[in-house]
Amino acid sequence: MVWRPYVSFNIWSQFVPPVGKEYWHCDMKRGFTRARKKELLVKSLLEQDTIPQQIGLLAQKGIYEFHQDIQLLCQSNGVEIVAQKLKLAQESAEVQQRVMKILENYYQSPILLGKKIIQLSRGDEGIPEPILIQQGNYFFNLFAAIDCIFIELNGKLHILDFKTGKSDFDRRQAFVYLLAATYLYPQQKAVASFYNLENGKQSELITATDAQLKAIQEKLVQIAQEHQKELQRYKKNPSDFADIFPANPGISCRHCQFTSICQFYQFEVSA
Amino acid sequence: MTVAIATSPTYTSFSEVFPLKILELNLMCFQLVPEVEKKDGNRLSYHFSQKLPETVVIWHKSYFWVLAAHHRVLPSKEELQEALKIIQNEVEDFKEYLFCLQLVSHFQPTHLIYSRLAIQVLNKTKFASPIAFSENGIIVKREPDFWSETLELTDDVKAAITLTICSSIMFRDTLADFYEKHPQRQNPEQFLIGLNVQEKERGNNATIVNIIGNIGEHREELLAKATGLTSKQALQDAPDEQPIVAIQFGKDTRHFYYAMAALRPCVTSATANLLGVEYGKLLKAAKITHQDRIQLLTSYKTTAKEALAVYGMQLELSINSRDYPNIFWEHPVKLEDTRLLFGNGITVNRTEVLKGLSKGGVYRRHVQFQDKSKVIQIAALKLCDVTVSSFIEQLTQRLAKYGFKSEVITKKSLSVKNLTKTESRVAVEKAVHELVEIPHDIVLAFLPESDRHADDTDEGSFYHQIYSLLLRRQIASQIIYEDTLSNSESYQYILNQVIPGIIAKLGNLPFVLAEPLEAADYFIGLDISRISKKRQAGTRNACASVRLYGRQGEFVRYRLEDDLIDGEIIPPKLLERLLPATELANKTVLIYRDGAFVGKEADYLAHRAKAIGAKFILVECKKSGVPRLYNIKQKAVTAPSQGLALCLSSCEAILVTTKVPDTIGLARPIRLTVREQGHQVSIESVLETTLKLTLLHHGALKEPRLPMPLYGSDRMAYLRLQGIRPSVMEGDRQFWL
Ligand code: SF4
Repeated sequence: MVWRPYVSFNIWSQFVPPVGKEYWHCDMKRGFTRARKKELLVKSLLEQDTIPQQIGLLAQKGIYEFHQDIQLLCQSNGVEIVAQKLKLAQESAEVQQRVMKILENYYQSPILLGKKIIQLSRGDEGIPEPILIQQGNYFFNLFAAIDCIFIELNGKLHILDFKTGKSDFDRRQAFVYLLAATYLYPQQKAVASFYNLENGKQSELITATDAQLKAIQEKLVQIAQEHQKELQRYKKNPSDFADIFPANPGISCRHCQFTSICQFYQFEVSA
Repeated sequence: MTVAIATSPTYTSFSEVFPLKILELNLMCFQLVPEVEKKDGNRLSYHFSQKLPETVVIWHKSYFWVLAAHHRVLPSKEELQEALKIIQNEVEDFKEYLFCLQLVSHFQPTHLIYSRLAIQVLNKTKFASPIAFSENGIIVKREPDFWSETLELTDDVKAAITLTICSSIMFRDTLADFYEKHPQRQNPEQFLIGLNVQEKERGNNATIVNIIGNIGEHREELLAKATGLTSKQALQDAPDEQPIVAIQFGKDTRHFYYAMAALRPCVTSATANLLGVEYGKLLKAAKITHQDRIQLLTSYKTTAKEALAVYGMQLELSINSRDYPNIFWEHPVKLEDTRLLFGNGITVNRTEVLKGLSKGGVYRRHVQFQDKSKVIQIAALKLCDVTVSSFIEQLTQRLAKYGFKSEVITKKSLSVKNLTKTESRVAVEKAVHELVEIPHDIVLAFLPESDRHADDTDEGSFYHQIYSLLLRRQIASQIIYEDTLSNSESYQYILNQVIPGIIAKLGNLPFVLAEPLEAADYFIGLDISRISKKRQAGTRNACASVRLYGRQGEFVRYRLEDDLIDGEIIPPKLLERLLPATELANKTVLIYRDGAFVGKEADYLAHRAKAIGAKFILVECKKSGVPRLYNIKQKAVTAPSQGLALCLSSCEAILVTTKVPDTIGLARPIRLTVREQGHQVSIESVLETTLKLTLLHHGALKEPRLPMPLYGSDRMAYLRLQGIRPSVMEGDRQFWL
């Protein structure tokens, strides 16, 4: 397979923070995850799933299991069976508790029930198939790990992304999926939405015009290029790490997984 | 009109700088051991001046200078010691010191010392301050403002002062009155914390940061600590249940406790409404006509003259072009005749920017737009009822005329008419957030006319809100007001104004100077500000931005840096990163510093220059504390001409960079100082360069007050002060224009 520059929503969000989260942004985090991911220390930090990640993964699997055997949604012990399949008992108390809540929520209102599902991922499939995109003379791979696609009554594709935890929906993710859909299902119109499995919050339906999708594609090209440039620069001069990926110590360190190896890590002393 | 300070029609320009003639001074000098630092020296001298009747004291480079009125005997050493003891008793910070006071017998006062003493005299003088506006307890007062100057004439150095006028908007009553009448009195935190206040005693501004209990609990303790008479009285009179507020002055992180009667709320856009006055009205009342200005200046001068005469100083006629023809400077050719260079080698006059654009296109396209098929992605956000489609159509046509394809890819309209201010701000924020999630190159915002007047209110206007939300995402914005669109015939005119700006904000360079500047190879705007982001004692963050311009005034790029610093010392590493040797080695670089070089900045820069074999011309550019200049035409005082300058010395000048319509007010000049640490050039060449660099603002047809390398550095600082570090610490788009 030919190697190509690549991009994903995740990379985009590591370059440009979600709206309103500008304070939390630290480029060095991207540096660790993207440029130094193979170093032992970094690798081990990256491998430790954080609690939110574990919950997200188990939740996705849970939904998958329910729909593998739709009967489970009618059985009174459906939730317990799924929990067993997920080996929830082996998880920490917090994870167990929150995932149980998610399964119960879903059992109560299984929003995919009766839908014509054309794709539902388990969450642990690994890296999805890349989508090859051409922009002018530039070819790049777009990675979009879509949780679920079903078909609306009106025939439109509906891309649904599951969320857990408290973070807000980032519409940019939906845009990336809508762009992906134009390549994967070129004949079909699509909408996207988010659904938070923990609090039941559902986003509005998100759509994008062709012109908007074009703008998004251009942005992705730009990010893919910048990303490659950065990686090259780092490869050539690893000692320039902090220059290529400037740290923004302070409030952004609060939820950073690299505090143990980052020399810029700082406690924010509250006033 | 007869003007006392300008009695002769033979001169054409004059200033607010008044030389002092030193007659006979009743002057002495003493020192304190251990020596005190500047800050404490100034504080102590203030208290000395208060304590000693008909005497003023200043501190200057470890000496205290004492000037008594000429009919008074100079204080004896014992008298001074007694005063010091009282001050130490009263002012907490000095209590612990064991000072030894020594008289200095041989002393040589400088002109700066004379002029600082004169200022101290004026500080003790009562001036009549007429009230220009009064409504609901809010007044607009005309007040004198003064500071020291020195003049270096070819054969002489002179002490001088600037005497000027400013309008202050004040709440007549105290914070206590404000609080008592406040509808949310029950929740004082809600409206008191964050409120800007003014200390009544000395007029210093501060912000309320906390409420620390009530008077009843702390009265005695606070009384024991209070220094000023007003604060003491306020503490004694305050009812038990009244809250005590903690306030903070400027960047000083210490908290001071005050009774509310010793403070008054500052009138700002945010509080004016609460206080029952329209802010726009206040701003209007704050404007002073030329005639009023001169009359007031005359009357203040009379008062100042009398006060200074008592101390043996004579205030002379203001510096004018008849008595001092050599120190006034005017740009030799009309600024608007400066030639500008566009694409394809086309040059035109500054007044013909559009002609240049249509004939030659832009001087340089940004990499992103080098491919001419690249489309400018526009978002339109509409907060008013006007139809904008035909305007937008013309806008895209005009962009096309200058070589840029564009398309409106998102349109959003929002009615804010029936919403409260808070609701509408939330709605606007949401709308902008949605727009920035789609990658647009620029957002056009169409705003209701009413927002124009809210504009001076920093936080209040949609303009400011939208601008800042986009700025923090580094997205360019262009604001257009509804009223300018009501008549479709005016579209072309508006487009003339905004199109070069839109093109420039996207990183292109519409034009540069046709003739290169001679003073240097590069021009840099440097802004270093220190913020205590981390709130850790001793260390602060130094945030710096530099903007690099080439010899033809072409913008090259900006760079942001920050670093932790101790006190005043800028880390050399920070300078290295800001001023890279690869680019600047062996070059002459003119560095404009926004404000003054502080601490050792100038020395460091001089070292840095030496280390990389470059020549750095270090120029300070100050916006406040600058005397105004005036012209006189047929005996009438008029606005100064653009490009008029007054050279206070061979390395310092006051320069009028803008032309301001009479209805708006009077141009506020800037002060340029060439620091001795750097490479030396004539002040005239700095003046000329500075003026030319104001001609390169692409976002407006009017020239800005500051040369472009500094213009907008406050906006860059805004990003950092918000704790936001843009992903791109370096860039080549002037998105902040
Ligand atoms: S610890 Fe702080 S500075 Fe370091 S990478 Fe994480 S967020 Fe950035």
